[in-house]
Amino acid sequence: MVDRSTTRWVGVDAIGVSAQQPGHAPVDLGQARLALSRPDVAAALNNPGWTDAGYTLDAPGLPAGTYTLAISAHTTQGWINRTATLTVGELDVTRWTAYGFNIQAPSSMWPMLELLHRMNMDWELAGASRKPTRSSGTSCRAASTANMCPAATS
Amino acid sequence: MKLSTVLQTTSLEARTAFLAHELTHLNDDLNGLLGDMTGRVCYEAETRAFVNEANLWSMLFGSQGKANADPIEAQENSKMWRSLDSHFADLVVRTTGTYVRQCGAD
Repeated sequence: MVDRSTTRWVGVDAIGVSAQQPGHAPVDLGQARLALSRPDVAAALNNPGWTDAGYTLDAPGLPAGTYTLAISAHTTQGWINRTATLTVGELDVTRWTAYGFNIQAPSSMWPMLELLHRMNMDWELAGASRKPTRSSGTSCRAASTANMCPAATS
Repeated sequence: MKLSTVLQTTSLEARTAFLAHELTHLNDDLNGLLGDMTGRVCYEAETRAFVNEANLWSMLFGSQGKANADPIEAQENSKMWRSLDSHFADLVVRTTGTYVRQCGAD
């Protein structure tokens, strides 16, 4: 997220998020962690000052369902509010079993696993076989970050 | 692991490079190398991930990187040129603002 009225930095120093299902009270998800690297945003908007535009928020345990996210960001222009829709549920996760591996991953990732095998990076695939990838859509990084949900911070 | 929708517009190779980076962290975690991910442990983990990502990109496109790269692929070219040498990669990670904030003081 960037505040386009400032160019030397992203211009956002706080982001709070709550989630609400129809007919239910909103759930405060807390404050997002800011300043994650988003060089793709800086490149797309042609401003290197906005490289740290990413933010992330974990919401473990949020029950499956469709939520309206209320996102409040504090910018140089004051607080701004946006909404977004979040669907929590099991991803289309299945298992990639080629070459003796057994990796839990959506089928959309299988070509990447195949490429890693072709590049002799089976040691990485072996690690992924030992520990399934996360299947919940709730605890991964928000879509605002460029990378993926890591086992640890990236 | 879940790929950002931002990456879905780029090439299979670029997405795989991001995957290689994150799988390095997964392997580190499984091997007990991550600890609390602050200071030296954090910087070393990021350096390993970047070098691994760079090695994959180099294997795919050679030492000059990919020609006619899209913005995300250009980012991979840049990472590769900075990260093929692990000592220089360590310097890059330690002087990148995002990682300084993430990893804290060494």
